[in-house]
Amino acid sequence: MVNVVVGPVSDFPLGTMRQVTAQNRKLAIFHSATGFHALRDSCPHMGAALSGGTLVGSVEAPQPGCYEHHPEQEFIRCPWHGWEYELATGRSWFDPQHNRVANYETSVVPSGELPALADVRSTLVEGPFTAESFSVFVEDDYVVVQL
Amino acid sequence: MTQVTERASAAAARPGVGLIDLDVHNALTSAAELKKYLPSRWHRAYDEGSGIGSARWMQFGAARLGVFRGDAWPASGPPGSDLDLMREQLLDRYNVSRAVLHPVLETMSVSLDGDVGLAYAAAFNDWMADRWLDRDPRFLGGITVPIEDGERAAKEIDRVAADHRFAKIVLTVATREPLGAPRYWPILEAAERNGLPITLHVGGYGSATPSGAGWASFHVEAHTNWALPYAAQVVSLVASGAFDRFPNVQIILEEGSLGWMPALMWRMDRAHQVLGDRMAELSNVPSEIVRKHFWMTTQPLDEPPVRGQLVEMFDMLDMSDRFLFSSDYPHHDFDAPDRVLPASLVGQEFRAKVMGGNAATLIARALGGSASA
Amino acid sequence: MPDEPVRIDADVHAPRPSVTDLTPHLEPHWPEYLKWTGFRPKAGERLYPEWTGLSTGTASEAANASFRATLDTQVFDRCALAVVSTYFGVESVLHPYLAPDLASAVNRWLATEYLDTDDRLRGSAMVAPQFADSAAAEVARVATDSRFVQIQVPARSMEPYGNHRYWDLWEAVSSHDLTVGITYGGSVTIPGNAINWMDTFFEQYSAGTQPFATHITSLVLNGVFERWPNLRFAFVDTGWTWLPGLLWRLDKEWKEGRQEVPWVRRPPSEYVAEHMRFTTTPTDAPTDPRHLQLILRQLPCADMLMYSSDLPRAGGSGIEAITAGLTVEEQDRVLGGNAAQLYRLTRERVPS
Ligand code: FES
Repeated sequence: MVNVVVGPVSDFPLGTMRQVTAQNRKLAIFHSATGFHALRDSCPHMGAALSGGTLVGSVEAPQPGCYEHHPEQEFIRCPWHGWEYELATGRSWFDPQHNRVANYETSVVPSGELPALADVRSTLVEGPFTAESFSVFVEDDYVVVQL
Repeated sequence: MTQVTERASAAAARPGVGLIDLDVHNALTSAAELKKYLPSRWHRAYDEGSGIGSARWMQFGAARLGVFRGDAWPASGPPGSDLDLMREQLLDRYNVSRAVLHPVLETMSVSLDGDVGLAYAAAFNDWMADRWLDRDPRFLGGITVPIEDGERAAKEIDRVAADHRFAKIVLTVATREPLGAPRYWPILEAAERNGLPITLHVGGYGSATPSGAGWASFHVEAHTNWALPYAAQVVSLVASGAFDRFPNVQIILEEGSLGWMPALMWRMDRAHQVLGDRMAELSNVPSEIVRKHFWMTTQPLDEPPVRGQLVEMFDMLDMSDRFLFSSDYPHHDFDAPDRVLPASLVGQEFRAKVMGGNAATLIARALGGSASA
Repeated sequence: MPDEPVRIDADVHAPRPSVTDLTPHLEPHWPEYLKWTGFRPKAGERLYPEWTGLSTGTASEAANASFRATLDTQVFDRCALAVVSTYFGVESVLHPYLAPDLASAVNRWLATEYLDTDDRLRGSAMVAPQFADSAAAEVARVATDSRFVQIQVPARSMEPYGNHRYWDLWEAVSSHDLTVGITYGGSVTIPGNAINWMDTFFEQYSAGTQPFATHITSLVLNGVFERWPNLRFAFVDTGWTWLPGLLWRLDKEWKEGRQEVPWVRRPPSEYVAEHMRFTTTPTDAPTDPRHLQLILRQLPCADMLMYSSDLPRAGGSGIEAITAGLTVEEQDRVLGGNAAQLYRLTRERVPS
């Protein structure tokens, strides 16, 4: 297991949907109302980058015409054919068992705790954000993705 | 779900042929761009939107993603209008050797009758040559015609076909009458005269109702029904004896999906057998007429619950020389050439034919033309 | 023989009644009006013109007798029950009071002429769906006669059957736990294909499955089966080999656009598997029998088909080609079990 520092929190303001490359993997990083989420940035259907999709709440209807909107259940809707993946789990709406996109745990870590993270959990590696530069922003918190 | 990446084989579909995409949509950067190609006589009508756009498309508040891939919007202008972005997202990314372009959304209006329809069609064709075909040799063009006006359409086909970079004639599939009707014969005749296939593409606003029984409530419902007009046109063209009159005419069913075709063939054959001499004489059984005169593009590719059923369907259709890859870039139901029809599923030979080999036969004239250009 | 599997013919066609046949079953003001307007049920004659070989014929004493005789030799030689319908083209009548009353008269005629005289027949009652409120009233009326097991509507309707204009009708059908049969042909107001009127019978017939496909899409996407979970549809006389191709596309569209119809909570093909059945005649069969077996396995479940002879037309030919590749248990279901379940033909309702 590898903890990758993808950058300072200030680089990912609320509403951010962005692709980053870490450990040769393309990740879609989302900063939504429920926090930070990371998914593999490739839709299992035909490979569209999910970071270019649309962030939506879940819409359900127990009966025709009875809409129930749950903005807190966040889904990313693929920019191509519109398949929906739950941000929190990577599971698709239409077939959560079989159709899902890899989902990675994210955390926000103050810079001072980054070395400890390396000690305790696993290796801490440079992400797209380099080791040199995070030492500059000592006051900042960092977004860490566990790959 | 295992997805086999087929990019390498897509590029090498057939030596010297490469990947050919039969259905790509370019677009005007802005409405004003067309005026350079449109006689000033029509500028006022064009500016005021006479005939531009179709009431048919207004029936739903919105199509999914406004019909476009969410990531296909250039910095300015609509999807399909930026040549560089199209190169990046389609031609270069998938190593497409030829893409046949057509501005289908803008040209729906060209089903207008009379001189205005012809003037619009001619302007789109001149714009195509000038703004697209001249700028990248990988582009080929679809010819826009005033669909409901056979004589004028034929005239425009004759004019444009002299430029061999135009590879097909485009009609929207929902015509006012079934295509076997005599009003369309001049188009078939001009297609034959110029050695060009006719494409039927989603769209149009001529029909009574765009389903077998009335109007859909939802876009997802209407979008599913878009397979139906294709089947109806096949029936009409087969029954009308059009192919006896114009034996070299070739029709591309573009963006109609495929899954409905096997049963239609069987049904037509049975009806033909039952009705016998009570119907017009056909040169062959209907399914064989289909296999001699129709081609089918692959997008939106059917997604059976068991992937092998796709192969069963191709087997039943028994027309492997007549499937043509299409992506429909930049529309929302885009098919990615490295993901659909993997060789691991359909076999290397079949894939090679569909990704380029078959198209190379169908549009040989255009390929020769663009190679020498 | 409690364990003997029941055999059912899901579709036989009685000769079409004439206006004279219906006169005793109509309210007294109608015969005069019908005579004055020279009314003839033209749609019925056009749907299956005599020369096509698909005609079901017009009723007469001789025609009725001959139909009964054929039932004995070609239906009840193998089946315990048959679902009988007739046709009058009421969907093409735009008069909002005449059309429903004609439908009602036809149903009374069918009951008197056939259900009363042969207890092996179960009735398919027609309604004029273009007037859903009156159609619902007719459903309530025929539901009191338990021999009617099906409410019959035409494929070529003014709107797709998921449309709200029909919801009163489905409410009535659901509350009486009946089955809806969608049958070939229909309203003269609708071309029946997605382009426009076709010139020849060959074209009309070849494209004749299009309204059925439209209804499947519409019923599922409008949430009719979420609203009425017991509602069931028989697709009668339209073939079935086109179904897998439609469902591939419909399921795909649902994955892509389901948020527009969030009440559709499962893949459309699952609703089709649970709520719809197809009769076996006609079968638009491939030339290669191997392909027919493949198509059978492409259906969304093993119970999609119900044996039908389509008498007096095709005589049920071709059922062997279908059953050839099925297990004995699957054969039993196709030959009767599926129809028994769809039409709620419990053992008590099967004459011994
Ligand atoms: S590529 Fe994401 S839904 Fe098709």
